[in-house]
Amino acid sequence: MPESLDFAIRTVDLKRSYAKVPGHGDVVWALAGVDLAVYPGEVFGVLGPNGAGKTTLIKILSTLLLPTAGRAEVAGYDVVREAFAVRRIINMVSGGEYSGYGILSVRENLWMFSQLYGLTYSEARRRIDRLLAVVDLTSEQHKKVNKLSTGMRQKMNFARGFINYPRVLFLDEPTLGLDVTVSRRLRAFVREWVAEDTTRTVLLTTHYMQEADELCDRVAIIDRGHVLVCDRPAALKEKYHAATLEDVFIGLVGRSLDSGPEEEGAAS
Amino acid sequence: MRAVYAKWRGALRSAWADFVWAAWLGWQIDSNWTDPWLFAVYSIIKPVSSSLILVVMFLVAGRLRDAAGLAYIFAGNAFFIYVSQVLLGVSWTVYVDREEYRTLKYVYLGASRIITYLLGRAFANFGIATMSVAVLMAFGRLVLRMPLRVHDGRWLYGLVVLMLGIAAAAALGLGLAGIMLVTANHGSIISESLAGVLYLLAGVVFPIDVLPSWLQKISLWVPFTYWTEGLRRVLVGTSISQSMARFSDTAILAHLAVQTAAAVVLGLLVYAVSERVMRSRGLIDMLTEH
Amino acid sequence: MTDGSMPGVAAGRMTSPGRLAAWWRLIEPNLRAANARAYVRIVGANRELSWLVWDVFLPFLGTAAYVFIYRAINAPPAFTGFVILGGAMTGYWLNTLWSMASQFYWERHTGNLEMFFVAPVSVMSILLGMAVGGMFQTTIRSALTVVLGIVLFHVHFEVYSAAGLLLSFIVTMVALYGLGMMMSSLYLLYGREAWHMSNLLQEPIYLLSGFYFPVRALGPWLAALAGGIPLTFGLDAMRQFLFGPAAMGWLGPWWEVAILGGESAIFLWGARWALDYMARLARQEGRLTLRWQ
Ligand SMILES: Nc1ncnc2c1ncn2[C@@H]1O[C@H](COP(=O)(O)OP(=O)(O)O)[C@@H](O)[C@H]1O
Ligand SMILES: [Mg+2]
Repeated sequence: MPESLDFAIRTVDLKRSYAKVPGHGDVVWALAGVDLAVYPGEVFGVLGPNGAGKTTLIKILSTLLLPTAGRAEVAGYDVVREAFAVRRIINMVSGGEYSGYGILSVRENLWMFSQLYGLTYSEARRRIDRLLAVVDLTSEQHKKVNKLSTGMRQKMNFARGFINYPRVLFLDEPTLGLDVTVSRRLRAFVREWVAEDTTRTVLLTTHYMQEADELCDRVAIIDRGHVLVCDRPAALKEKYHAATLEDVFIGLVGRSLDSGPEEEGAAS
Repeated sequence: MRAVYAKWRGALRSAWADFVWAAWLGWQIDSNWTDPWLFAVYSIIKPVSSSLILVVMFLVAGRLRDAAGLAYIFAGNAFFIYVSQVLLGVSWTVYVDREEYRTLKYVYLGASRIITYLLGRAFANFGIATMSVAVLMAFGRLVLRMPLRVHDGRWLYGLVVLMLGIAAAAALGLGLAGIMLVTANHGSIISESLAGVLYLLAGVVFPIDVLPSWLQKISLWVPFTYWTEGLRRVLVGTSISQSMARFSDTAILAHLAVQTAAAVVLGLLVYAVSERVMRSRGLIDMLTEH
Repeated sequence: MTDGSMPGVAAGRMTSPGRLAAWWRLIEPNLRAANARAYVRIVGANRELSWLVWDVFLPFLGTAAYVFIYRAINAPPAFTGFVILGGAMTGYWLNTLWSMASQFYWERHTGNLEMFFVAPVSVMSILLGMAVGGMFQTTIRSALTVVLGIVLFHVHFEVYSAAGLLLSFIVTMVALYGLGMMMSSLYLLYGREAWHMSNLLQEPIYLLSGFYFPVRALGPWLAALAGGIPLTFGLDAMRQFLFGPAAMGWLGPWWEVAILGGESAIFLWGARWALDYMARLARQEGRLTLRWQ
């Protein structure tokens, strides 16, 4: 049984380092001791510039990467020791990325992924119909994926993330590179999704202020692997006497969000 | 006149620079995963194995004593490595760059002539082929004691024949590269298949006499038929093919030269047409794995 | 929603129907995943008929070259049969190397690998799906190769034991695809290095496993070494069941079937272990995903 049902996600002094050059001692700390608590029913934003450690955090929480030190739990399950239990209740979407097989149609791809979660055919059909409508791909559903534009593939990938109706969903910069209308539509669905069933939780990373402000119940601002602050967007703006979250960030760090860290990391 | 000359010289020089750059890149990509020595061993294990299959086939059929017969197919098989390596090297770059490194479109935008780039990328394959052939020749002569050497000092003839065949392979490779621009990633299978067809038709490991007569007729339209025949006359000293015996050495060279020219035209044509199709359908950055 | 429940964990103290149900709940998603992955292979690979050219006709020409060699040196007619059988089985080896072992290399590039690991199914199921799909696809191709061989080269198969033939084929497949699964674990950690390993295992294995001649010709030491590749015993057993004494078999065919049974068990168990081990290393080093994601 889960140790605690109070948290959807909890990390305690979570650390992760990477070797700067594989095989050598020199390391970068992508996460340098992160403490977070996310509650069921929340849309929680992790906001930070490129290289802040957002993707690393999501990879650890979604069991793809082991932490170097510290602890992380999803719905009370330890992501290291109980990875399999975690996988039953999560899903993950990386924006700007698209998975799937080019030779299958959109619908077939979503069906393929639904089968990784053991959905029956009828249940899969129902969910796929709904999600296709959400991402506005219903009319494209029988097109082969390698004939789609990258934006459409990204939308398909977004839909894929919801296919198992995950209790905890990780969205890593989900609207990266999508146009404004589509982004808005997807954000609206994220809200709707959590409102529909308050045991659901979404953790989303972004470096768009607007997105965090509009969408998230609470945000954590992180930089170079450290959580600087964590609160409701309105509370943060009030506390730092700032008009936007961007200004909050500049106030905290002394540079703008888009400037990135000094040492250039991976793209995104 | 001088201006034209200068323009040509400039173009040639920049093509040469592209070629050298691409050859360097090709070598890096092919060999950077390990140290050069291991890479060399790795590169020749494949061709040596294929050649040994032929030797064992002779052995199980109880024909190992037939040194000239074995040398005939052994030499043909060894030199054919040039054809398969060059075909692969020139063409496969399209898939690798498009789908693995996803750089094809930048190369296409950047390199002044993509044809030069493709040929340059294949240079590493040419080097590998040379190394493999040398090892096989040494192995055949020293270990298997086959009569493999340049007979009657016909170095020049052998070298001209060799180069013509490699040029024909490069040209066909370009045609293949064109086809790959507009098709899904089938890995190396397309170039290996073409190499397989040529291997069969050119009578690389048997005299074309054993082919059905309609296939023999096609064989005579394949430059590599004359190529392997010419090389074998130099390296084994004799030929055991009755159908090829009627060609004099000069006739072999002439047929090879003409058909190589035809291959060049064909390769460039296929490439040009494919490139048009690719551009009109916007296929330069498609991803097609399954 | 029904998700979030944890079947299996609390199953230990249940009554036996309950235990069966819990067991089934654990197995079912894995079977579904395998089925879905096989679907990609079967539908994807046969959607365009071009495979007839690339996977049957053109490779057959390469096989034909070996037939002509035997003809040129006046070998007995059974040898033509060896070549056709070897040519038909080549497809399985290529499928194992390129569509099983190294498949994860591509799956990582396309972002699917991480999806498989985020999902609550065993990677073995994904591999099982790939294996079934690959076998299906290859069997059609191989059957066509045999048909072409019979039509064009008048190969005559005696079939000394149909049961033996079928059984040896099946255990060969299990052992072979088990080996493929085991090798695929390498691709969780390595990229090009592993790719080169697959590449290196092509022609040398054609030689060592005796695709085109009775493996006995290599002598007992080399043949025994090659025996680690299931196709060595598989081909030898199938040759013996098909051509009898003309096959110049190495060990008794039933012995070879038994050895293949043992290899199946070892490779499947090894695959499980290796995948677990490599997945853990890959999670440690962040290799399940592309760096730039
Ligand atoms: N596989 C890796 N190997 C080495 N360094 C990495 C790797 N992945 C990420 N990093 C480094 O870790 C830091 C955090 O990266 P990441 O988590 O991707 O940040 P974000 O998603 O916020 O942009 C960066 O400095 C990045 O260069
Ligand atoms: Mg990121």
